[in-house]
Parts: sequence; C-alpha cells; structure tokens
Amino acid sequence: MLIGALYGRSVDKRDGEIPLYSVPIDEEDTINYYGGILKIVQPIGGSMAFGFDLTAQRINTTSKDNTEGESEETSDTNVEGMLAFYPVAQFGIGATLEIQRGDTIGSEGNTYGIAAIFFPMPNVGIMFSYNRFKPANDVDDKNYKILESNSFDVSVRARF
Amino acid sequence: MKRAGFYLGILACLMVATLAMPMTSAMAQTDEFQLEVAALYIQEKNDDFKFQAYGGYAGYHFTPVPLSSLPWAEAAFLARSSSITIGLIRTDYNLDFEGLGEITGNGYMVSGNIEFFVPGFPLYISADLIRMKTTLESTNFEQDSVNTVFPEGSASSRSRGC
Repeated sequence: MLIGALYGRSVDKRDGEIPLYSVPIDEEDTINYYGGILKIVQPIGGSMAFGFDLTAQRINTTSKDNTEGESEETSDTNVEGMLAFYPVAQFGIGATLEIQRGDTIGSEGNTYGIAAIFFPMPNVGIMFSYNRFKPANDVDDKNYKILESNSFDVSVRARF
Repeated sequence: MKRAGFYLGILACLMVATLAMPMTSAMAQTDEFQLEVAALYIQEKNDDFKFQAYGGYAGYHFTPVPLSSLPWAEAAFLARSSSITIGLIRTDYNLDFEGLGEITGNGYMVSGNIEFFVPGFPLYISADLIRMKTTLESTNFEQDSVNTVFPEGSASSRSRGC
C-alpha cells in the first residue's frame, strides 16, 4: 500500500494578438495543486490481484490579465479513482471514475472510463483506455460550449 | 456509432483476456527488465472539437525489476523500483465552433519524472517537470494568432509513505 501527499504548481502563460483589432493577449494562470494519493495492489490468491488507485486534489488557480491589470481566483476539486482486476499476471481490466467540481467554467462533470492492459510477452505490453466525460451542466451557445466528449488512448510498451 | 465502438472495446478486452489465460506464470518468474520504452496515441473528441496526441516515453529503473506471478503492469510498484522517465508528445487541435470558424493548432509536451523509493524506509518521493507549448491559429476567428504556453514551467513533487 502506498499513501501520501501531493503538491504541484504550474504556470500557464498565453500571449498573442487578436489581429482584427490589434488587441494584444497577455494572460497568466498560476495553479497550485494540493492533494493525497492512495494506491493498493492486493493479491487474492494465485496470480490474481486487485488494484485500487485514488487521487484527490484541490486546485487553486489565480488568473491574471496583464493587459487589463485584473486577476481572478478560482478553486476546483478533483477526485479520481480506479478499480482494477488482474485475473492473471499478464492481463488487467479496470474501471475509472473522475469527479470534477469547482468554479472553473467547463471543469464540472464526471468522467467514466474503462481500461485494459495486456502483456502478450514478458517484454511487450499493450494498454487501451476509453473515457466519456459528462458535464454537470450542458452549455451550448455561440460563445462557449461544454458538451459530452469521448476519449481513448492506446499505448504499446517494450521492456528490456 | 459511439455505442458500437464501446462494445467493440469490451469485446477486444474479452478476447485479450482469453488469450492471456493459457500463459504460464513460470515464464514470468524468470524475467526482469530495467528499461521501458513506449509509444502512445490519445484522441479526444466531441461534435466540435478534436484533440490528438502522439508520442512516447522512456523509463530507466536503477535496479532490475523482476516479473513475478503478480500483475506485470504493477511490477515496478510491487518491487519498489526507483526510476527516471522522459517523454515527448506532439499535440494537434481542431476546433470548429459554429460562427467562429475553424481553429487549428499544434504543440508539444516534454516531460521528466523521477521516482525514488528510500531503501529500508517507508518513503517514496516523486517529482515531475513538464513543459508544454501550444499554438492556435484561425483564418476566420478573430483570434487569428494565439500563442499559448502552458505551463511554461511546472513542477510537482510528491512524498509518499507506504
């Protein structure tokens, strides 16, 4: 079992220009992440095992518009969990749930997912996951859209 | 179509599970690894937005990681293996909001990660450094040229007890 604390910090700078009006863009977000992590891999006999991952984060963002001299603070909470089952050492399948709540436009919603990993050989692994994001509230107007979205990822790894 | 893709994914997982069953755990007990390289592809989309990322990473474990009869996917975690990993990902964006025109963009993400299990002590420390740069462009949208850099420099550190 692994249990612990998490801290992260990122700086997001955006610069450019709206050419139609020659309006400059100069914005900066400073994001601080605080949270905790729990990870368990529990053998249940033979080569079978369960896995459980949980990450909970509080995300505080300070957004500055340097052209206007204005700033805004927002807070979001993100909880992400995965329950995995490994019937054999070479294969695992899992279900994921991510819950996002907070002030940031577009951040609120739940993401449901499934994932699978398979090692056809000891030194080759293939992973696939599929996720579906469902926003807490659909926003669909000409200025801003927050809609359901789907994502998937595939990775192939080799070990030496 | 989306539902069909979902069920296709489930079917593929079940086929993979079936293929995995006959493999013997004895084969696993003789193997270990110290270097892991991977290629990955990510796609996210809805009606107006499509994001793609492709790239890879390489991770080096300071000591060989044994493949036991327990899940190979978690071998490094179970062995409390310290490692260093670097990654490079290219990103592509395509947005087509009604009335705003098509916005395209691309960028990259470079990342580095180090994981360290303190020997003989229930402590684990991990640190990440990530740099991303994205450029968005459009001929119709009034934001004709927007350069986005996020995060310019980000670092997170984690300390964990186990």
